[in-house]
Amino acid sequence: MLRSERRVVITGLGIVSPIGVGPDAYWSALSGGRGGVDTIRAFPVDGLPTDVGGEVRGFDPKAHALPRLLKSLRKSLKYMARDIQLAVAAAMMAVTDAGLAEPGRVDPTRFGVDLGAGLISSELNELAPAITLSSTESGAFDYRTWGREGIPGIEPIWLLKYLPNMLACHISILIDCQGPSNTITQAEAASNLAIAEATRIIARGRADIMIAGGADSKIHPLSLVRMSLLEQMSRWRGEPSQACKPFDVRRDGWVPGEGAGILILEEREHAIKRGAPIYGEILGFGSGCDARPGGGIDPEGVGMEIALKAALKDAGLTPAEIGHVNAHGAASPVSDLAEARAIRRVFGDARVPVTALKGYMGNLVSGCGSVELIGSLLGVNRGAVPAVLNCEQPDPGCDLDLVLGATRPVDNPTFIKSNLTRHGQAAALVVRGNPAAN
Amino acid sequence: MRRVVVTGMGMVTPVGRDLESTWGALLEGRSGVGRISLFDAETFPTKIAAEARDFDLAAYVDDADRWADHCRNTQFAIAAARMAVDHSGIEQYAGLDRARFGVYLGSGEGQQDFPRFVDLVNRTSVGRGVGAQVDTAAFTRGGLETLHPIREAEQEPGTPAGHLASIFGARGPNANCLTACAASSQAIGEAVELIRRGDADVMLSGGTHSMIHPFGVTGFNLLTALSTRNDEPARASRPFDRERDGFILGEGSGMLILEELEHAKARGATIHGEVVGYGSTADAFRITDSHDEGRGAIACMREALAEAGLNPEDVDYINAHGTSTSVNDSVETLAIKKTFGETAYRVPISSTKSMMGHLIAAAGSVEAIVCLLTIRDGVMPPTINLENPDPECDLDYIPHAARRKAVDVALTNSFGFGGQNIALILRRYAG
Repeated sequence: MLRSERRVVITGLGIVSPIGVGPDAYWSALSGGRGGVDTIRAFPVDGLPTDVGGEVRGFDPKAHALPRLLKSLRKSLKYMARDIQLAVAAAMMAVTDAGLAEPGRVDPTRFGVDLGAGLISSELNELAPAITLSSTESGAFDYRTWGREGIPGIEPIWLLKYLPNMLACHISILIDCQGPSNTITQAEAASNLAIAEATRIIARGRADIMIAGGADSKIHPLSLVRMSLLEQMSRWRGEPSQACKPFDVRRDGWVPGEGAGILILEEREHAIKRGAPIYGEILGFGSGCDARPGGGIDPEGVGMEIALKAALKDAGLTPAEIGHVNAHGAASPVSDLAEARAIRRVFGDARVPVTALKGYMGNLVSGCGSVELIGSLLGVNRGAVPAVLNCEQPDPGCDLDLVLGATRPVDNPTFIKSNLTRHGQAAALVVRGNPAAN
Repeated sequence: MRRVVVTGMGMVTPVGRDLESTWGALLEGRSGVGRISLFDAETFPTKIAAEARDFDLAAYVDDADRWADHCRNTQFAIAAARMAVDHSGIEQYAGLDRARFGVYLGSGEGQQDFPRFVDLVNRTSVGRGVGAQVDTAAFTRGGLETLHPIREAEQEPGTPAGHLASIFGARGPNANCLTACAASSQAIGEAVELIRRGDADVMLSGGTHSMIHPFGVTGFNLLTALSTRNDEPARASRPFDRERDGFILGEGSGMLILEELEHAKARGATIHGEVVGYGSTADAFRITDSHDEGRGAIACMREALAEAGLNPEDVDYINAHGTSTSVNDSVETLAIKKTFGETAYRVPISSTKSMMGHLIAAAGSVEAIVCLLTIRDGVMPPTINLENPDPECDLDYIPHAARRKAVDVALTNSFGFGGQNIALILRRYAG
């Protein structure tokens, strides 16, 4: 952060993940090495490279509602796609954690929202009646029938259920956040970029508190097809929980997931004055991009290198002052290697411990940055870095000091969280935990 | 503080293939609205839109073939960005540090591959009409065979920002925000903040969008947000008029090169104006309607003025959000009155959506460029079709014809579905 800027601390955490809802359950799974990837049960799938994913099972968005908002939430649920419900639940949890559950604790005009979110696919059965009605058995689609009879059969609010900005909008309405509201749709870099932007907004004095992070659900038939067409997906046929293997020589691609991770970011003096818990501080951030004209990422990881260096510079830290790196680690053969090369170039001789959490829950895409950041934050505050799950044969080509097997004790609570998209868009955050918070 | 100026502009709109042709059409008061030609909308409640009709990427770049399978979103963005970059001359600057050259767009999602998608749903549904349900296993199996990888990839809203970074070698910060109709204004505002803070020196910013597709028109028709004045396309978008009945979908892209002032001066760039104010608020009211007293709109205009260190009487022109929906135009008018006080009656306001329709995510960036051209040429585009002003809309909306006036400071509003409000203030650069 620039010396002239206000400092930004983390005062609340909310998490809904395939391995646990709430920080304690989440950390218990991370520290115990328990993965949540399993055969997808939400609906039958067939023909995909893999039928496994990280699902949030038994999710009830009402379970985390602030009591005073339960009625409004219940009314709004029918307007909320699953991504929105995940985000709203995590946001309410974080607001409660930050001691902001009662209204009137903050000035609503100084309270904003900045989230990462993705393309949300429509529920297929909301469209199937109108589409079949407008198609002949042989498959010819008749636009005229669609216009006359199809459109009137669809829910009036249909479009608004699936707009990516609706995660932030519902949260701002329920919790009364009248400050800045933004939604960043940059896939795996999205929630890191949103946290960085929310930090800048507080740092320059435009808001005192921001709800930041991200949410996504790729557990949808169309999303799974889309990912399978675009990404190298894991073809693992063994034990489902072992499908996603970051930095392992046997890694063979992505595993989809879903979830939400929300942070309450707050100006430091504001937090101290109201006696809020302080879990950590955002020290810096950086972003870069190495999209190539022919498509795909640069195998050398130049974009990630730019992002990591910019984040370190912004934090005013040297590589040796970083306790560990929480890497993207999608378990894709190309991107894990590119990322490893970037980390090695940036850290050089300062062999930094590296972890990656997708082995536990798959790729939460727009939500992965914040969910994974919370994993490291909980870890450093409890004195341990979670291990890379399913990395049994570390790829010598990656040549990183991976945290393997079990958590590794740490006394340096400063870490970097980095993520990378298929276009080589990279975003990194430098965070310092506060072990005294536990 | 580091100051941020505009050194390049490019746009593709329903009324023009580039900056000057769009500007010429707006000053003439020409409507770009007509019958929808992109698909058969004959039985849709709304059969009209403002299409970028003759758009052909080959007119802008040599490698158009490479982008043939990509969405209109991407194609518009590439054309507008190419023009903005050329306009700025930034590629000719040997001193450009590419790690400090970024992209921040407010692009909409690419359109769904409607023909393939409906065919897939139809083939994999059990039952027909009411109660029909998709067999998801058949859907996933069939989808892998019939859906087109590029068409699917293009729907992700962060995609154009990646494409532009690859084309122009922009290796710095890369982001896309999507806050409905406020997106590209918000992208410009946040890109300016990145440069001010020192995180980048040059940002390619703006937006691109087309929702003129079957699901787009369906979705907005279901919300009864679109005009159904199908028999008089050119008269359908009528902001602030008593007979307005909804907005008209437009499509296109507006792109700007934002640059730190000293960086621009060092390379001898032509400066087209300065971004001096940015306000960003949320209504926190309803997902379907803006706040009935314009609470968030007022707050964002006030914030932009405060950031610019300007008073209401310093604003020479307002480019309104002015969608031509019943609620927006009266609430925006109310908000301008609350923000500007007595001055509200003296500041000329226009809605260029009366001619271009609503470019949704791309609207704000195109309208910011309109403000810069107003400053450049000392002439303000009109609000066309304002024949019978709504009694609630009693300000000076520059009806019918463009008007000459020296403009040094212009404000543009963008309000998005769900309650995001953005105001930008652009100012003549005078050293």
